[in-house]
Amino acid sequence: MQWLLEPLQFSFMVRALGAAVLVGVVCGVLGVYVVLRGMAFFGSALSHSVLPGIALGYLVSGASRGELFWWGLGTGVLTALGIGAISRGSQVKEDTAIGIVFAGMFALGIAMISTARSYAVDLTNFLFGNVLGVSQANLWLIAAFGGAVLLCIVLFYKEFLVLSFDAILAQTLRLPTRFLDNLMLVMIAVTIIVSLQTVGVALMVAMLVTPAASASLLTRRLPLMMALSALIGALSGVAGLYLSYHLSVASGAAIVLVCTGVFLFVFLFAPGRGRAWVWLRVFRRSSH
Amino acid sequence: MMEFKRMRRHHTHTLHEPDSAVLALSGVRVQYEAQVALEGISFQLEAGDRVAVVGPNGAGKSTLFKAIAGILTPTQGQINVYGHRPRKHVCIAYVPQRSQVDWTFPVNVADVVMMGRIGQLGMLRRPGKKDRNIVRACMETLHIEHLARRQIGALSGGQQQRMAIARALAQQAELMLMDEPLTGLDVNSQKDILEILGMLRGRGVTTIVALHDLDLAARHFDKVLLLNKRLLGFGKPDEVFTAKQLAAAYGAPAGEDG
Repeated sequence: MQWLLEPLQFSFMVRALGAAVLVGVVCGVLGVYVVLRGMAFFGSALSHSVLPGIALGYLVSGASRGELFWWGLGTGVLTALGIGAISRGSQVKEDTAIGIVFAGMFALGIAMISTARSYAVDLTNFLFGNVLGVSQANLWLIAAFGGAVLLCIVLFYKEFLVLSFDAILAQTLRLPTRFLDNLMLVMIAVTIIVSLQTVGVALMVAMLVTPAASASLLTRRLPLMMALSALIGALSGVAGLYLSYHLSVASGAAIVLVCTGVFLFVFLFAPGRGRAWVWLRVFRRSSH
Repeated sequence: MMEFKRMRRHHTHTLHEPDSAVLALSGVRVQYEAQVALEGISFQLEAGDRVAVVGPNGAGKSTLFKAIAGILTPTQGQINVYGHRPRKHVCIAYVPQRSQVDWTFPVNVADVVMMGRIGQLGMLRRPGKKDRNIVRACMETLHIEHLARRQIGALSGGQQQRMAIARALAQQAELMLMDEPLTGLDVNSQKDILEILGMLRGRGVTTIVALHDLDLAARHFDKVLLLNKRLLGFGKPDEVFTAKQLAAAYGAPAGEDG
């Protein structure tokens, strides 16, 4: 009990827990689409690509957290739509194009931050997150933009379902596929920016992919998959923060490690489909 | 809001022009970058026609389907469905090849059939009782109502094909494009699907079916369309499947299945 209550006396811990839960839920729900549509690489690339935008904001405005959010958001949305446009009119293969853009942007971001004096500390915060530094204002921004993403997912649920399952069907039903595709890219960009302070640029993709992948092993119904994924994301955030507090481990890394641990557990022991049961069956059969 | 929705629906589901062919292509050419996929394609279909499209791999069957469905715009020439551009209609259904569907996707049979209703619903609206009734009726027509709650990955090949056709019916399709619906099915399931094609004709649905089996095309379809980038023949099977035309499509020796 003491173990649970002790961290709560610090207001920065309470804010961090709030941020971790919000981020876990938003990433968990949107992550289901990222997993189903095979956009993990895109998500990873996009989160790395916002670094120069944040770096620019950091150099222009100093390390003011509130402003960095907007710099990140602008860069994220522009990069997402840019990558979308490149992959549509492509002469280069899509993943190659994404790879080129993402590594180039990431390098640019690091180069820019390296010109500042407190280089190492700030870069670490951008790369791996610093959820303990979340301010009250920041928490509101996370809630507002995270809520907007969730609202879009609810409003366009059936359209995204059709588009993800069968893009040709979406076109013959004359759904606005270009708009929906772009909206999905923007939602991923917003989610990344919202989560940036919790897990940072480099670990971002884990929040998008790992809880959703765990949920996909537990159920075969989309709404339930979203709910489970959100639950796993939020609980991993809370558990990760407690571990980080008590073991003095970096918070972003701790959260991601809990997500990974949950995935491994589900991968091995999911009812009926877990690898462990499959191996056990093979072992029993061969020992007869 | 209501006004907006009505306008939108009217826009996407254009009224059919009276006395116009179900499908009319004239001088259609489709080109990807420098590569010509289809050239000089002209033909017309009447309501209830059942046509098999045959040709070797890479003959442009999928391209033809996508152009008719309004997913690709021809580089040259015109396609009209009931007198209007395909893009104006929601009554054209594309039944994909089974190998192109993600069967691990987390939906069940009823979910997939309901997808056919989405075009008529309009944005921001949820399916209602009417849609659920249509979905149930379509599943009953295809004898898959007992599979409604089944995960799509747990279906047999024939059941997967039935589900896809039920979805096209839920879309209230009047023109169905089916990409290799018989491929990979056992003989009994093939017979089932052919019977379903007969049932669709009874409902006035026009079907265009891509096939690679010339024998099935000749025995079960009243019209065949022989394609290899150009239209090499269109009409009754015994008129189209001549040694000379088959050689032109597949290269000698004639009659080999490419």
